[in-house]
Amino acid sequence: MFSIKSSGVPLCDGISRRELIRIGGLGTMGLMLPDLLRAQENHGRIKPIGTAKRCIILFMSGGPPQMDTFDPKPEAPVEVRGLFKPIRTNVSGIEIAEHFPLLARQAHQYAILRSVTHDSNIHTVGAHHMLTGNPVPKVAIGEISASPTDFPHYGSVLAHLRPTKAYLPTAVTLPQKNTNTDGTIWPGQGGGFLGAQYDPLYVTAEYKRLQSDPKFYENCKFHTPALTLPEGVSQERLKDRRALLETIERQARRAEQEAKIGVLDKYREKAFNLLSSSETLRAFQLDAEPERLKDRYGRHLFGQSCLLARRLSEAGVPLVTVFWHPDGTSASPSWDTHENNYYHLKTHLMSPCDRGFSALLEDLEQRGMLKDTLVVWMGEFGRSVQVNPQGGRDHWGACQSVVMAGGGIRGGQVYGKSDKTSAYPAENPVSPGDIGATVYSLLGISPDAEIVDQTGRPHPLVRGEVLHPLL
Amino acid sequence: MRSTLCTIFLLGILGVLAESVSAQVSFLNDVEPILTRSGCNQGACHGSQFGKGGFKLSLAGYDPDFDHESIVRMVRGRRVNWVQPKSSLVLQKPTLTVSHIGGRLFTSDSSDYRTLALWIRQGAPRPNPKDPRVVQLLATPERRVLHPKERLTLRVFARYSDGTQREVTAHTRINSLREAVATVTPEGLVTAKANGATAIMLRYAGLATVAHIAIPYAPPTALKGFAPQNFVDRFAMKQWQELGLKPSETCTDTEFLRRASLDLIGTLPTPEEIRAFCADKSNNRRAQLVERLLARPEYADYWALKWGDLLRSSRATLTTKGMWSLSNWIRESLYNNKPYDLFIRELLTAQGSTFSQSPTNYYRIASNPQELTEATAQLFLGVRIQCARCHQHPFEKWSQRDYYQFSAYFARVGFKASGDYGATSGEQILYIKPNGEALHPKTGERMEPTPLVSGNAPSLGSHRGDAQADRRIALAQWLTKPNNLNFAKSVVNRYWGYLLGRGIVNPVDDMRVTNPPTNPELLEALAKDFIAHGYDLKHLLKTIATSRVYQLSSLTNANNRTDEAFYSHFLTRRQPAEALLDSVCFATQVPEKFEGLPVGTRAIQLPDTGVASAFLDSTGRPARTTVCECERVSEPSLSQVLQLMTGEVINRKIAHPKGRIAELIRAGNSPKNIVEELYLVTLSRYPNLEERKTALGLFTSSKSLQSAGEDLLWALLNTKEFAYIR
Repeated sequence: MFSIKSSGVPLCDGISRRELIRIGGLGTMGLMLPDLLRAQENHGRIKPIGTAKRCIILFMSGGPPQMDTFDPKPEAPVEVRGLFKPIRTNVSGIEIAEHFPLLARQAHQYAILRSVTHDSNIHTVGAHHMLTGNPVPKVAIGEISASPTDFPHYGSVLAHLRPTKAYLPTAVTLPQKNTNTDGTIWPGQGGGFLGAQYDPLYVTAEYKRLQSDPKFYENCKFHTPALTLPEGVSQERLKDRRALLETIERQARRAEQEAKIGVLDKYREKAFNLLSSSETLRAFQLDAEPERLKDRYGRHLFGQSCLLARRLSEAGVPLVTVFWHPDGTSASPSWDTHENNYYHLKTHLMSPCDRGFSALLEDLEQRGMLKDTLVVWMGEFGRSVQVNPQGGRDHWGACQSVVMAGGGIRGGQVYGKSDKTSAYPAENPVSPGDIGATVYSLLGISPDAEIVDQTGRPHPLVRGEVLHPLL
Repeated sequence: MRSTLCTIFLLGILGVLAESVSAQVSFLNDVEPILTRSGCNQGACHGSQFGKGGFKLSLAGYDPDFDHESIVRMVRGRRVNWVQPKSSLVLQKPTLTVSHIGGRLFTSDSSDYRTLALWIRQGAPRPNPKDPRVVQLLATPERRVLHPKERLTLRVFARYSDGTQREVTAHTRINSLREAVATVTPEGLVTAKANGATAIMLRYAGLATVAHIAIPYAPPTALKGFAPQNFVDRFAMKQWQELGLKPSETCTDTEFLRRASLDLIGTLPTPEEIRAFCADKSNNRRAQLVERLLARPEYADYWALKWGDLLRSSRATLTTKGMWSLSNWIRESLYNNKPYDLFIRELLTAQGSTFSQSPTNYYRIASNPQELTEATAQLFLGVRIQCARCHQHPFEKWSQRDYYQFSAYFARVGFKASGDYGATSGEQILYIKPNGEALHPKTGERMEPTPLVSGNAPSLGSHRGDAQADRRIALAQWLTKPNNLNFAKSVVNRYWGYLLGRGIVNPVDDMRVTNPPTNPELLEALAKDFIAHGYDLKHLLKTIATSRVYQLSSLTNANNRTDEAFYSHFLTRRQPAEALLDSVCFATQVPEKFEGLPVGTRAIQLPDTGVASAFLDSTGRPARTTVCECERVSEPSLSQVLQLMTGEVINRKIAHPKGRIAELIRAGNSPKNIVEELYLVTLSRYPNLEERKTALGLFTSSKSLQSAGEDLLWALLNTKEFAYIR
C-alpha cells in the first residue's frame, strides 16, 4: 500500500488527515467519493480558542429540572417553584437549590447557562442534540434509537480529527452505554455517520446496593470488559499467546503480500498495548485512589464514575462522558421524574450529583488540571414548570440549565436568563449548537470544520456561535 | 503627434463601442458559472442551507432566480451598486477590497471581474428563461492513456439547447477521483502519477461528466497461459491486456473451498469436506462444488441475511410478527430461487395485511413517499437520489423535479389498522388511496409519476401510471422490463461486489456518471446474461464463482501488487459479523444461544438485529436503519480486535468443558492430530511443516494438553487468515 501524498493540513501529531484515512483501512485505489471528499475536508475558518486539553461531560440522563437545581424561582407561584428553597453560593448574587450544598461552595469555578433551549421533548432526540450539538437529521415523532445517520458524539469527532497516539482510547464512556428501558441505544453517543470505529470505549460498572440504605452502594467496580483479561489468562499467558500468534502469522507468510489486511495489525498492536500497558490498566483502576477521596466523591455509581473520569483525564483520555445511570424506582428512572419529583431528587438524585460533581471540580482544581479541563454538566432537556398530578415534572426542551467549568470558562457567572417561571429563555437564548461550538473551540477545533457523511455530504461540526462571554 | 492622438481617441471610441456591442451578459450562462467555479455557492460557503454572513445562494446554483434575488434585491441592494459598479459588494468581497471570510477569489483585472462588472453596468438582468440551456458536457480528450509523469490539458465544452457550443473549461469544477493515479489542477492540467485508472470529474451548470485516464502497469501485451472459463474472464482479460496487468496465480483447492463456502453460504467447510475435496481429482470439481453449495439450505439463510439487511427487516419498525412475516418471505423466495424481477415486482406491488401479505412490510419500513423514493432508487437502481430532495444532485443530473416525479408513484399508498389480531397487534393493511399527489416543493406543481431514466434505460413509454389504478404497478413494470439494463446492472454489481470484494461500480449502490464502472463491458455483459437467464440469482452466483477471475489467488505478484480495481488478484475481506461468529462457534464446537431462538440457531439465521449480541455489534452487524451497504462495517476496529482477543464469547468457548479442545483430548487424540484438526476447523487447511513444528513444540512445553490446545486455538482464531475470506 502506498500513501497519498499529503496536501492537507497536518494535524498536531504530524499526521495529515489523508494519512489517517489511509491508516483507517482504505487503499488508495479503493478511495471512493465520500473518502475523496473526506480527504478534502475543510478544517474550518473560525480560529479556535484552544484553552482546554480535555473535556469531561456529565450527562444527567432523564432531564434534570432547571428550577429545582441551578435556576431556582423563589418568586414563582408555589406550583412552579416547588418545595426546594434556594441557597446562597460563595459568589454573591448566585443562588442554586438547597440540595446542592457542596456545589454552592464551588460557584466561583463554574458558569451557569440558564437559557439553553431546543425544540424537542423526546429524550433521545434531545440527547442527540445535546451530545452532538446537532439536531437529529430526520423527523422524529417518538423515541428513536441510534442510527448510522446520526451526528457523531463529541468524543467520536475527536477520535476522527485528533486521535490519541498513546495507549489510550480517545473517548471513554461510563458507567454504561445510555439505553432506554427497552434496551434501545440512545443516539448521539457513538460514531454516527463517521462509523462505529469512532465509538468511545464503553466501560461498565458493577455495584451492590447497601441493604440498609439502598441509595448507597458499596464496592463500585468498573469493568472494561474489552480490556479485562478472561479468567485463566494472566498477563504472562497473554504475552505467550501474542508471541504464538505472531509466529503463526509469520509462518503463514502471507500478510506482507496481502497489504490490505495489514491495517488490522495496527489495531492489534494498539489492543495489545491497551491490555498490557500498566499505565492503561492503572488509569482504569480506582483501587489506587485514597479511601478519603473515594468518600469525597461519594460511594455511589455517579461519584465513583466522576472519580474514574478524573483518573482517565489525568492519564490522557481527551474526552470522558459520564452518563447518569438508570436508578430509583421504575416509576422514575434516572432524572426522568414524572412521579414524586421531590422525593426522587432528594433521596437519590441531587445528593450524589452534588457530591460527585463538586468533588470533581475540587479535585481537578487541586491537581492544577481545572484550567485546561473543560467540564460540562447537562441533560437532554429541562422539565416542565407545572407539577403534574403525580407530583412529577414532565419533559421540557424549551428551557434547561447547563453548567460549564474549567478549560477557559470564567467561573462565578450566570449566562442567559429564563423567564419568571423558567419555561422559556428570557435573555441570551443558547442553542445546543452554541454549546457545541464553545466546546469544540475550547478544545482547539474550529466549530465550522467539516466532516463528511456516508453519502459524501459535508457538514460543519456544529452550526452555532462560540459563547465568548463565558470565557 | 496628431495621428497618435487620433489613434488613442479612436481606440477609446472602439473600446466603448466594443463594450456596448458586446453581447448581453447572461445570468444563467455567464454569472452563475463564475459563482459556482469561485466556490461562492458551495456548501461550506454561501451555498449552505443557512447561507454565510447573511448571504445565501442556492447550492451550486441550482436555483438561479433565488440567486439573482439574493444578489440584486436583498440587503437593500448593497450587493449591487448601480451608480458605482465597483462599489458593489459582489465585486468588493471576492477581490478582498473589503474583508471577506472566504478570502480572495479573483482579482480586479480578471475576466470574471470584468464579466460581473459588465453585467452590473447592463442593469444586472434577471435569469432569462429564453437563454440557451446547457444540454451536454463534453470532455476533450474523453479518454487517454498516459505514462507516469506525463501531462495532459483537459478541455471542457458545453453544448447548448440552441445547438451552439462553447468552451467552458475556465468555469468547470475539475476533480480527480483517484489522486494517487492522476492529479488535476483547477485549470484542467492532468499529471499522471501511478499505475491504474481514474476518472476526472467535470462539473458545469448542474451537469457532470468524466474524462478517463489510464496509466498502464506495463506495456500492453497478450496474456499467455490464462485460459478464460467464461465471458467474465474474457472481459477481465481484455482489460488486463490493455493495462499491462498480469493476473495472480489460481488459488489452491483448499483456498477455493473455504472462499466459496464462506461467500456462497456463509459457512466454513468441515474437516470431512476438506478431506473429500482434496481427494477429488475430477476436472470440474470446483464447478461441482459451487453447484453443491448453492443447493444447500444455508444458501437461503445466508442470502436472506443480506436481503434482510437491504430491505431492513426489523422488529423495531415492523413489530415482531411483521418482521417474521417479511423475513420468512425473503428466505422462502431465496430458497425457491424466485426470479429476481418477480421478487421485486411482488415487493413493490404488494397490498393487504402486513402479517399475511409479507412484502407489504416494505412500505412500513420506508413509510412515506420520500423515503420510498430514496430506498427504491438506491436498492433497485443503485441511484442515490437523496441529495435531490432539497437541491440539485451535486454529481449527477438529478433535479428536484426528477425526485418528486419519481415519488409520485408512492403518493397513493395508504395504511389502515386492522382488527384481526386485536387493536394493539400492530397489524396494518396497505391499500391504494383514490387520491394523493406529489408536489414540487418550490413551485407546488403536481408531479407526473415518471421513472428515473439514466444512461440507456428505456424511457417511460406507457408507464406513467393510470390515475385510477395502482401507480406502483407501472413502476414495477418499467423497473423490471428486460431492456431496463440499469435494474439488472444494479443487482449484478452488488453480487459481484459481495464475491470479489469491490463492485465494478464502487460503492455498489452509488451508480452515476461521475462514478464510472472500472470495467463497463463486463458489467453490461453480466447484466445481459442475468436477464437472458431469467433473472436467476443462483445462475449469477455460479457465473461469477466459476470464473477464473474469482479463483485467483489473493497473493499478488510484482506487477499487480497495487491493483485494487481490476481484479487481477483476489481482494481479501473480513467475514461478515454473523459468519464470523458462526465460524468461531464451529471452530470451538460451542454453539451460541440466542435469546428467544432454539439452541443451534446460527447467527446467519437470525431474522433481524433485534437479537442481542455484543459480538455481532462490535464486529459490524448493521442495525438495519438505512438502505446503504455502508451500514455493515467490515473495516477493522479496536473493539472488533478486542472482541476476538479478550471477548467473553471467544474465551468461554475456547475453554468450554465440552468444547473442541476438551472433546479432542477426551477422544484420546495425539497432539499431532489435535494440531491438524485445529488448523482444519479454523483456517480450513493443513498446517505446513514449520507450523506443525511450532504447534507441537507448544504441546511439549505446556503444562497440559488443554492449555496448549486453548492457546493454539486462541492464536488461530486471532489470525488474519481466520477472520478474512481470501
